[in-house]
Amino acid sequence: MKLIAEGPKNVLREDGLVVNIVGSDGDGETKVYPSIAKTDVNAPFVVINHIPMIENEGGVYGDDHVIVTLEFQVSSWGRTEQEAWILADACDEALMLGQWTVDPYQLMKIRREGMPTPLPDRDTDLRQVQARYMARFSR
Amino acid sequence: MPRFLGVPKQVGRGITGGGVRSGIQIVGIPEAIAKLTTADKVIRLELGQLAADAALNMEREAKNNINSITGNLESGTYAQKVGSYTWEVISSSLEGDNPEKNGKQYAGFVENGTSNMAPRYYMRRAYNDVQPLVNARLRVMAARISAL
Repeated sequence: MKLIAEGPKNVLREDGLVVNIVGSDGDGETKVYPSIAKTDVNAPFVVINHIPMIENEGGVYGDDHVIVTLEFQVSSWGRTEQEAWILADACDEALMLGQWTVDPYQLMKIRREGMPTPLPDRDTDLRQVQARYMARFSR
Repeated sequence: MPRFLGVPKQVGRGITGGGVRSGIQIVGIPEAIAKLTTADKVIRLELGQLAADAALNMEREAKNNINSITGNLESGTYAQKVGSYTWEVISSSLEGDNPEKNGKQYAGFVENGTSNMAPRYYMRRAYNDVQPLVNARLRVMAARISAL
């Protein structure tokens, strides 16, 4: 289950174009973060958040989760809106075409929910483009 | 409901030489139509009630999900009827009860996060909580309509 939760982050960190755009932070880590970015990191960077949802009981047999659904949001942060959009496009392509190594599960389906939305930031002049995805895995 | 009475039967034996007459009579048509008319009103009422219940539940869940400090965002979250079967849940810090906090719209930042704060998804979580219940009630209604 943990592998699935980390799936989007791993896919984006393994994508050449995304890595090329975001680069690495001071610790040498690719700037794709779960939950929230590091405090001293400069844009562009990507933040992935899981959206809590009710478990799909149809995919549970005993203690075994045969089908797992993951809903997550990808926030692509840039210094300008254009930079944020370029990063959001790269992330979208990486998630749709990338290799999801979530053994023993396999990615059944991934889809973007609605159109990505550009949003301002409360604390900085940065711009973000948010996109929401629903991914379904089976074993 | 209408009943089928199409039982062929021999009539008038001994009077007209034993002819056979068959026919169909469906009884209860006016009652059935009256019942469907009533059902239509009941279904409309129930659908309206379902939409209202869902919106009010979502409002309550959203308020529960808010990590309230001043109570401003909580008081600025409410359900509103926009059509016979359409309600929306609005959350706006500009409409909260706390005048000091009403100058800036920050509901979207709480929901979607900022560069320094993870998203809280208080509205999205409320929607995700309520949606399965609405679907279940709609399925029950559909089954009842099919059984009419």
